[in-house]
Amino acid sequence: MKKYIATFPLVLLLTACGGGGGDGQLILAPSQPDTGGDTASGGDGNTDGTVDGGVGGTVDGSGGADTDGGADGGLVDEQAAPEPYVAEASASSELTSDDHFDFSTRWDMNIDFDIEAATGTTGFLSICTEFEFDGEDAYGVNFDKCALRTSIVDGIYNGSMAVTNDISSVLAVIWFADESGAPVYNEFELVNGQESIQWR
Amino acid sequence: MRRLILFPALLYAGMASADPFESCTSDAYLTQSAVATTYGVNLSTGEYTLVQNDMGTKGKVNATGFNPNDNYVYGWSNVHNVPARFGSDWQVEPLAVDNIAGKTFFVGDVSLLTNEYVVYRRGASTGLYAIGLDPANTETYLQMRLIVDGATMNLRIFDLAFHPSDGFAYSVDNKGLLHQIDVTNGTSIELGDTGESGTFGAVYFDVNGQLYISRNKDGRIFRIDIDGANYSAELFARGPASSINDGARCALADILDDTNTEIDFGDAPASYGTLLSDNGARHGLAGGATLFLGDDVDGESNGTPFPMSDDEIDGNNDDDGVQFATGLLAGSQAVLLVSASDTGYLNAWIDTNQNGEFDSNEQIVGDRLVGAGSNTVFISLPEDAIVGKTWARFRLSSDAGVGPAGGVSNGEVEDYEVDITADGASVTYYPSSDDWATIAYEDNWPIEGDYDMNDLVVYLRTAVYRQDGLVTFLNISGEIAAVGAAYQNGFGIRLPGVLRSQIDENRLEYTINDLPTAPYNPLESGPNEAIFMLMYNVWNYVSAGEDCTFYRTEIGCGSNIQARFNINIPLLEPVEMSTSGVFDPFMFATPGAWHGSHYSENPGRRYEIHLKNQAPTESFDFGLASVDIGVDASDPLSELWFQTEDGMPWALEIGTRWEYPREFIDVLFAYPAFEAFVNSNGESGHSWYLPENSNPNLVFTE
Repeated sequence: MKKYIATFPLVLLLTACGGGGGDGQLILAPSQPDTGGDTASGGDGNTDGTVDGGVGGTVDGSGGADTDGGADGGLVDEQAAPEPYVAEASASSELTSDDHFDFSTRWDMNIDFDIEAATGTTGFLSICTEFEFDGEDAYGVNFDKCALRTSIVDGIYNGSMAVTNDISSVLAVIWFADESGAPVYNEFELVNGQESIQWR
Repeated sequence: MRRLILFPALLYAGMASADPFESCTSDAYLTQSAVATTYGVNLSTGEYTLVQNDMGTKGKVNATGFNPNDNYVYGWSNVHNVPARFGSDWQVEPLAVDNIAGKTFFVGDVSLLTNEYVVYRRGASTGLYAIGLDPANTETYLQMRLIVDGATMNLRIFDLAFHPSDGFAYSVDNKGLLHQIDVTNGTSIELGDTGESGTFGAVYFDVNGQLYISRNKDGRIFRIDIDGANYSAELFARGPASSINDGARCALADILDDTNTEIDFGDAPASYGTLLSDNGARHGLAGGATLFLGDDVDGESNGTPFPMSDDEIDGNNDDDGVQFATGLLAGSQAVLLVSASDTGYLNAWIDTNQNGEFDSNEQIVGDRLVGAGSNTVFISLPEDAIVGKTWARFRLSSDAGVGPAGGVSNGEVEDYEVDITADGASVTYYPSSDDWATIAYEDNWPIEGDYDMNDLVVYLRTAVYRQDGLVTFLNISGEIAAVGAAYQNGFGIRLPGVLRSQIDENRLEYTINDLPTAPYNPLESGPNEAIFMLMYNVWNYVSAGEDCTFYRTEIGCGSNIQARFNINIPLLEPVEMSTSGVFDPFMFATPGAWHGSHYSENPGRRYEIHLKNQAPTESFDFGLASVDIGVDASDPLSELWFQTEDGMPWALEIGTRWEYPREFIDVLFAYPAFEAFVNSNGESGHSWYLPENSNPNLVFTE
């Protein structure tokens, strides 16, 4: 029966954190967003911050590139006062868009993990969209809301996942299942349209 | 009036006669949905269970009523357009009645004193009719006669019920007014205002002269004291909501309180030991349920085996104590997070050999002591665990040594349908393993519609299974969320880049509402591409309801989701697939159905609507774009499809379980930020579709 063997002591795994480096902390600091390609810049017409009560107004809720953090544990950027969006056109038939614009509300993001410290291990990786930082060293994760579930060998995984526009961060969780093991977390803040997330 | 030859039971040729109900049963029955489904409601506890989801008819059954004279239920079968009889197995038996009205009925009940089935429909060309049910009365048996026309008796009612003894029928109209109806002459008296309005599609009596009325849009059941002449409606129970709703109950039955619902049962399929009669796993809740998994535990009087689980129906899924932190891979360890309310012993099994039973060597957790809060539990899957869907059972109790069946005095049992994958497999979900994306269509292509984007709305979720980067298996599940269309449309999904010949056709599994559709093969024959025809006509699976034109788009036309589907698609060999998300979902015109007078021939399968710039399938006829008032600006050579000159689409994909606009409401008014999204070509307004960015008055709510 195969077991997940963490031949690499977890302590070393922790200190060799990728993506921005926590010193010996279980939680890895969010990696720098890889702003390649077709990401939207934060400030053109997006409004961010608190959500308007509703009639006639709209703000870009959790999808804006400027909002911070994970689902619940993050901070809401309250710098910009929300401006309610009022549509000028009086019907959708008056709107125009480029013929190549596909109205997509998601984008495909590459997952480029090559975790040096995990060489020689086998683990199970989940990338999930609903999670909450407990303020100390762990996350509460809703494992029913994950976009990727896979075994990960030697810390290497290459693939992609589709991310919807309202997702501003995802959490990677790796379990090295031995009886004393605790999972390793890495939270990735995303810019809308971000090409990839990397973990080294 | 034609004379019919007398037989003990006049049925369509070849139909078997079923047994009647054993007695005048205490339960009230609610028959719902476009494909008829019946629930039993225990009026003393408010508990309801699914009694029969396969009634042997693909159509609606309305106007049901229980006949204590013979202990059968009578109703109107839409598919046969005649009255039908139902025995204890709830299978439809159409009766050889000459339907002199020529119409279908959704209001009706059995008059117990005169032993007749009485039906009613408003309108001058129809009305109040009676059909004799007494075989001993040869003059009237199965003869349909008109009592009065529907203009003389003009009531906006959606069901009626006969009082157990006073000979009158009663109903509540959509304004909440209570009517007493004399069916001997079709006259009625307005007794009073009940104080509740809505469409009351199911009404019934108990032996004490209490009238119960069930409201379609939210499933609430109210009680009105007819015998006590107190006509205000009192909220009594919460039942299942549906736009199609009809109630039958033996009016002579008392409300019996002989059921004990202070027990927690499982809901795995019956073979696993779920029902009381099989000594199914059960935990006592009397004395206050303090030991449970997750956040709570709910009691029931008997197990409710899948697919009739109470967790699906009663809106309270109490199977919430176990999270699968890792996948279940054959031959590997897995991690579970088990939440308990207090200290207890955890025992668990997974049916890894898929024999429908929890064998003793399939126990994955044995008397593991867990504490209050979250517990990390490591389990091992055997190498020979069969890949695919199977069931797992978790039991928490103060007693140790608990097995997969049998009763214990406290704790909880939770059953989960789980997915065992091959070692090394990866699964990508969109939008996630538990979320939904939405596809919304305007069905008037190439003519520009009103942009309410709800002519067809489908919620979708996909899962792609890969081994070494190649796809081995796909799963698509979905729900028909809305049909705001006058046209009849079908729905299909194409897998771009995948050939029909790459699909393992013999192992395809396609279910609708958890019922297998076999021998129907959804893989379209003819085209080379892999195209799945999920429904040829969505109107066959959903219904607008008695007072509405469309399904789940108009105000006050709420209903539960009436059609859910799920398809498992294995591939013969692993293939490379770069596609993601929702693949290529499209609607097509139902073959043989009218799709506008601008087409002299019904276009049928040749007519498709896809997401903007998604190429159509091989069956598509681009000539259908040539309509005088059409505004399609597709340019196949430039790979531009299904858009207007301004780049506006006839279909949208939205990455959430979208709150779509109400009927006739332009999406721009419901979601003003849509303008920013469109005009900026997606540079801003990314999350225009979220509920917090909507005008809540302009989106459809149930």
